[in-house]
Amino acid sequence: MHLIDKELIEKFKSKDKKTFSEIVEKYSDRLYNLIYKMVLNRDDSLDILQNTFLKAFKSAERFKGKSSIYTYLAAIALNEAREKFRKEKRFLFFDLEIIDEERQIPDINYEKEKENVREKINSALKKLPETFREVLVLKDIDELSLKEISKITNISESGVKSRLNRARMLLRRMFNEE
Amino acid sequence: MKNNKNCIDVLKNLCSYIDKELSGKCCEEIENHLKKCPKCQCELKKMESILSLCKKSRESMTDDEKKKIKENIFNLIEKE
Repeated sequence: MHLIDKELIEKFKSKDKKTFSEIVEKYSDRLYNLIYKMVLNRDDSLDILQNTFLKAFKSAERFKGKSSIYTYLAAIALNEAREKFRKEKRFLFFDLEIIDEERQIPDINYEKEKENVREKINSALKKLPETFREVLVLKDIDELSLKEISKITNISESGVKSRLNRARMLLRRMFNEE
Repeated sequence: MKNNKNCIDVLKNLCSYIDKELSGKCCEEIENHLKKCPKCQCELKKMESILSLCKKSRESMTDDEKKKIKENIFNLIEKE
């Protein structure tokens, strides 16, 4: 870990407001994207983003510094998103056995549909069960490593990998159905 | 590798292949199969395209939203 990171972490843990302001500035865009892809709603994303930073600040002294500050923030954001789902009971049930590996995907002219791509991805993500969407968003959208995702989700790296593979297959199918 | 018999194995390992997580031998076997199998080639391209679109499909806040969030956070912290 670089000295600058160590200093940043120490200042963060001591709740230095200037440092916290820099952290908010540095990570809010990336976190917003991560949260949005989890909850797929603008207002909810803004609320969760705000709560994530507040909770991170309040519990900063408990941060052990074993992961990056971003990983720490992402873990809080994920818990906030899960809490949101729990409150709203927005659980989706899906029969994983009906994934058809042989199914053909029709050609899609990505250039022509450029403006709709984001909506298509979001709409397909919306249909994924929460646990699958989590790992897919963390890996394929936020580009975190399997090790980081394992820390955030509290599941083993092999568990993350296995869930990710199924999530990608499901996404491909959902995307095809759009 | 015989094409028809190994499509399922290739599809099962497609994500690990994309993530470059396979051993040299396994990777080579998949590449040999892909050279001969248009169907698996198509699957690979589709999966890579979708994952690439995922990375490109970013959400962003407006400047006003970003400013307001930051203000809210620090107002709430001050009240603590």
